Amino acid sequence: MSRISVSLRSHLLTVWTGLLLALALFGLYGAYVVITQGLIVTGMNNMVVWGLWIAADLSFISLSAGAFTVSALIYIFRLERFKAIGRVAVFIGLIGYTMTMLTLVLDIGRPDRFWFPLVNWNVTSVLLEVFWCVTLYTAVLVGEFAPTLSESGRLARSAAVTKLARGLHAIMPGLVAAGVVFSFLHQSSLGALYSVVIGRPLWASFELPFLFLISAIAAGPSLTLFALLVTSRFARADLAPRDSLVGLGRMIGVVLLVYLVLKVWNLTLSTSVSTASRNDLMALLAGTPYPTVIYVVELGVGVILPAAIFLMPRLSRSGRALLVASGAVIVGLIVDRWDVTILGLIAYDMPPVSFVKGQGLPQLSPLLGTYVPTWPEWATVIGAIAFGLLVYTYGIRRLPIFKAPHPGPS
Amino acid sequence: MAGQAEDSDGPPRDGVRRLDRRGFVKVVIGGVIAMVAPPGYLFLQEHLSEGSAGSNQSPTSTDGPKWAMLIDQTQCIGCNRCTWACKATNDFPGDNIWWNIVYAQSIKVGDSSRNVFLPRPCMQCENPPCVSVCPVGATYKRPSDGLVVMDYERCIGCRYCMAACPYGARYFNWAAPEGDNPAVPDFGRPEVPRRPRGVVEKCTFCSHRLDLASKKGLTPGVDPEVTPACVDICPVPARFFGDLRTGKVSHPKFGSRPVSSFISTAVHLKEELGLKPRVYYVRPGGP
Repeated sequence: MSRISVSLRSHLLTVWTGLLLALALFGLYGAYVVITQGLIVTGMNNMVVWGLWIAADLSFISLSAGAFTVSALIYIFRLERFKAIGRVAVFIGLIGYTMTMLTLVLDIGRPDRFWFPLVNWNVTSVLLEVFWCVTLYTAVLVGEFAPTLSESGRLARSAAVTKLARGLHAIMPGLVAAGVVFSFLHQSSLGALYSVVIGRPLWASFELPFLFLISAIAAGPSLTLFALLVTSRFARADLAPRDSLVGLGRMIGVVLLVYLVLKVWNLTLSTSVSTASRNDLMALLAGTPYPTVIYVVELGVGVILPAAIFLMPRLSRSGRALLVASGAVIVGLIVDRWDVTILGLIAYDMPPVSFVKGQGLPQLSPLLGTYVPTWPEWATVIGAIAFGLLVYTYGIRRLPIFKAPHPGPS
Repeated sequence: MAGQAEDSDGPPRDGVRRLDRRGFVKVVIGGVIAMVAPPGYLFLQEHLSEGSAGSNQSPTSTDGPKWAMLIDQTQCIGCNRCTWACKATNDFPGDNIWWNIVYAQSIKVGDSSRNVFLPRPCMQCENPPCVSVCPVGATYKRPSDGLVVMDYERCIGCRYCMAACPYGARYFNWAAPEGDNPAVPDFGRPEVPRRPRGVVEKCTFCSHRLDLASKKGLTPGVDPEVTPACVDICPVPARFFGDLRTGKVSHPKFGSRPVSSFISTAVHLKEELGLKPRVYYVRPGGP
């Protein structure tokens, strides 16, 4: 079986690359403004301390979960038919983690100290664990992707590189297993990051780590699927066998159903130390568009619709239906990460609502803060996405990422 | 070229078979770790933060001072002098940062309504959530007396501590702290250096003043120069400060109140979270 890179029509490619380049440069300018003027140029404030950047980072990381999920299907569950899509999944994952790091460096107030968690450990911090797992997993992704790099251009002619690639092939199952462990740890801990914050009632619930992990396992492969379908369309060739796409879709569909149950539980029945305030805040939110967004966009469009498409054999044979379904999962996930992050911060009960419950004390009303991202925040996020798409476009054309539509005589 | 292409498709055929069992064991172990990790982590987190007062990175010595502040809401007139004295002493020039603020609220008493005030410094929790979430240990409990303070040279500005604080008592330097401080000199003079752009900061109970106390043989709460600025300037008997071990808290002008007089009736903000603040409130109105 031989691997190919993709050729795209040239005039379309020029326009596309030019557009992405312009957006990436715009992002770079936004980053310059942020670095020189400080985070005062963002829409965040002392109450809403995280915003678009964190929502984007969480989305990037979750959508990169296709790398570990598809790798696990191939190397751990030994499902040979997914081999054709393994490389593109890992490639997208690597791009996603790079985008996350670019955005995150801007988000912290002291970008010059981004490496401090490597040497200064507070072992009770979920964020420290996330930092380490993301770092280690990115290293794993580099290892998983290295064989692809080693087969292209000048590298392929180097004996040392070929030897290294062989070594990586030999340890690939171990590498993939390590990747699964690190991914489970940080994909879930990104939810735990919020769970442990007992003072933010909309976050403090036990289900978040599980919700984050499960939704990543659904959304990551959805992006892989989406990218494959779109790229196939532009390359005018099926870049992966249809049965591997349908099979992947079916897996996503099942995972979405599990997610649906847990998410509804989380929205309705979840309890925590902050349950009383949580109910107050939920009531407060009833007057905003958020409940509609959560139930209609997140659950209706992002979960139920794609689950139905993926799990109905008649629908899931259609490439267009798969495209819609995987796109819907991606949209649902991004909206969910925004909602979890922003709602937990803008709906707060500070100044403190209660002294001691049930003593007839003055009740200060829970408050709804505001947060509107500013242009430097949008510019940098769009720039990071444009950068990712540029790397993807360049990579699929230059690197042997896709399986040849017609297997060669090997 | 064909041979290379074949290799590229995954592990070589014989390699697959050789690695099967070992790979499988690794997978099982990895899978188990991954499954127990999220709940295990939460459990661990809960446990560690419970014990963090004593066992975490900065053990509080049992014989050190136990600084506490009493805020009497029945006395507070909402003049905001504490807010401004804090601003002058700890030197934050803009209007983004206020270590100590006073909330006002109208309550009904019988048929009429009246204003009550809620001054809010850092609660100086015994179980501070800001300390346990900080990835780099930039916020910590001082070993000598358990005060929650920050190492501004270590803070990376991730703002997780701000999200974690249930009292909104933490502030971020969104911009560089430049310009004149409008609270100076009317409400005091800066006693600590300004913090740089990009780090979080918070109320310290004026730890720099408390540190002077033992050197000069003075008593916080009694001697103005070693008493927190907000207590010092309070024009009514609404703020008292002291070491709980001495059995009383004091105000430089209004004398002292025994701990026994308020310890059973005063309340903490958000008591139900179990953070054990060191700021006690005497409630407005009565039952």
